[in-house]
Amino acid sequence: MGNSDPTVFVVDDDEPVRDAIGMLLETVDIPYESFPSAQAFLSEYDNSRTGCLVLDIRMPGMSGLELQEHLIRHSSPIPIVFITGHGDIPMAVEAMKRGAVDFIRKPFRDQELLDRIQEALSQGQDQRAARQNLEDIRARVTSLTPRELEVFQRVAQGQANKVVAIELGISERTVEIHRSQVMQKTRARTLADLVRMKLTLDQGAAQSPAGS
Amino acid sequence: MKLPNTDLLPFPAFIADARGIILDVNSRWRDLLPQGPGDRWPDSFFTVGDATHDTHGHFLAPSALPPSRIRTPDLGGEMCWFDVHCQTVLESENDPQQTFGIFIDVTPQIRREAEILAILHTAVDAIVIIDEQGRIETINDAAERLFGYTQSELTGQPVDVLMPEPHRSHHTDYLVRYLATREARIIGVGRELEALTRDGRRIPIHLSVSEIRLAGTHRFTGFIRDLSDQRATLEVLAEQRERLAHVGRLSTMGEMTASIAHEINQPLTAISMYAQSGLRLLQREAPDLVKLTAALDKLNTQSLRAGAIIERIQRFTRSQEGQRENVAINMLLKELVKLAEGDARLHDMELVFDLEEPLPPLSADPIQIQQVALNLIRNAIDAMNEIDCANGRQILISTRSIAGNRIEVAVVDDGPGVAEDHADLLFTPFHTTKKEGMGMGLSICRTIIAEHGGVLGFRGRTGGMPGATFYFTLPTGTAEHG
Repeated sequence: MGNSDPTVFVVDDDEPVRDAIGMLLETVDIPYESFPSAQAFLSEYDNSRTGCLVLDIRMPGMSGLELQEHLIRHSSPIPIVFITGHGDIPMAVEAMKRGAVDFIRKPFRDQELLDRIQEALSQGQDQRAARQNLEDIRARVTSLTPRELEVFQRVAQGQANKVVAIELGISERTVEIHRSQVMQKTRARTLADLVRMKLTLDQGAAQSPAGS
Repeated sequence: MKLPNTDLLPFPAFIADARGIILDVNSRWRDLLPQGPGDRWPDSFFTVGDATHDTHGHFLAPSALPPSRIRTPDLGGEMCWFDVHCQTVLESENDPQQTFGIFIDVTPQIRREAEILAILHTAVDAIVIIDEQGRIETINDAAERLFGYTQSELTGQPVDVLMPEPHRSHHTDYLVRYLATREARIIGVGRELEALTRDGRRIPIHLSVSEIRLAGTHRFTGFIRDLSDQRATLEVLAEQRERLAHVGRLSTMGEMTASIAHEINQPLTAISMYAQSGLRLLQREAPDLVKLTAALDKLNTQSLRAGAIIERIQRFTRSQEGQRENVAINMLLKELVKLAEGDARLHDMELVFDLEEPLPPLSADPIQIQQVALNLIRNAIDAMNEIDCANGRQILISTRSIAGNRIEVAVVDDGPGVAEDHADLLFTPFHTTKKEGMGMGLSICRTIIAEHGGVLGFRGRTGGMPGATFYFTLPTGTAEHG
């Protein structure tokens, strides 16, 4: 473990299905690892791995849905393609609401599965980039002094320097000094950059309650 | 010639001359009979049988006569039967031959015989009386009707003409063995057998035999009841019950469509993946034949797996005639679980066995017993689905031998159990607590188990544990199956 190649993690309790998906991935040279249960996957998986999950929605013990929930709670947002069977649509809808890439019904065409996997892998990369970005911004913002942080919050919400000065009870000139410090420390070139950073931080806080 | 002093004799006596003319009678005769001196012996009487005349109708010399039986109305007009014993009397060498005879009244005996004959011939059951060699002596009217023979056709015939094989060839041995060992196989017990009619039909009968021992001879009386109608009724009933059981199985499968579809989709998914992988391998410039062979091999295994699932369902839903076979209950349950475990898995439950080994075989309809077990397992799944079973979701299927040569099969769940006010209604047809389902399941199951001579019931779990145990018992032992 620990290599940077994106990997497809196949989790299905049915050995032949697992094996057959593995064979397909092998023929198209996509690295994969397969697991007979959600527990087996969790005991091997670590957050640093990139890739996506191909996950059977129904399994004895921990189900696919439960695994998804577990991963969300532990801030391991790996993209998931669900495999569903007959009559699993309500569960699949639930999975989609929680952010699954897609679901496909058994039996399915190989291309269908491969397309979903590609989608998930690229979503994984995007998510990874976004997460990296968020972490960068957080690191920069934590370097602000409390006063600078107050100025940052208000300016990023679109308040004019004059208003900020009145609210914080300081002079407009002092606000300007703090503001340029903020721009420098966060490496924002324009006001628009500041606004974007604030949005990213707010979204990040909303998405990972565990981190807030 | 005059009779000697015969007036004290308590029965009629006479003397007749060589031509048969009655010469004299005693006082008892005069009290009883209208005939007298001058009447011709024996023409004045109705002989029973024809012992007094030869085949040409000539009167036989009385000395040659065995005791002969006659009947005649008495003075009061009542018909009386007598056995006549005659003796030739010669007074001297010159005297013509005379006959002295006495009449022994056998009327009560004749009446009793007539009554017995009437009982014999008006009996509803067929009766066949044979001697110890197995030859038919008497059959009654019912037997004539049942077998299609007349009494005279059968008298003296070996009784095995009324039996189909294999008993036909062995009946003589049976008789010999019985007379030698006195070990009764049928006498006093009665058995259901088949009889053979004159036109070659085999008909189901119940035969009971009694033995008559008289003066060192044995006779056997067979009482035969025609079971054709009874059998036909039973067959119709059994057919209807099997039809209902069949509807029950179809309905169960109907309720299991989701899990069946899921079960079949597994191998289909694998098949489709292997096939498409195979195609991709072939499209390469230098196809990897080892991998391709593996793909095809696995594909084949999966298609067999799908076929096996379908075959199990077909076997289970087949309409059949309630055939009894010798079955090993543990094997039967293990096979059934393959059909049920998809449903259990779909509800995230596990089926666990606790089977006593070895268990004696039993005679049963395997499909119907599986039907009952499947019903109980599915009820357990439904029950456990109703509540959140935190401590594992297991259904225990157990077998054990219990007192009275019985086997108990139990299905134990951790569900909410059976509510007290519901217990009485459990086995009532069309009563159900489920959204889907006819409410026929347990009612059909109870009928099936009752037909097998067992009991279906339920009990709470010991130690105040939640859940219910549904069980059925079956008698052990194998039967001959033709």
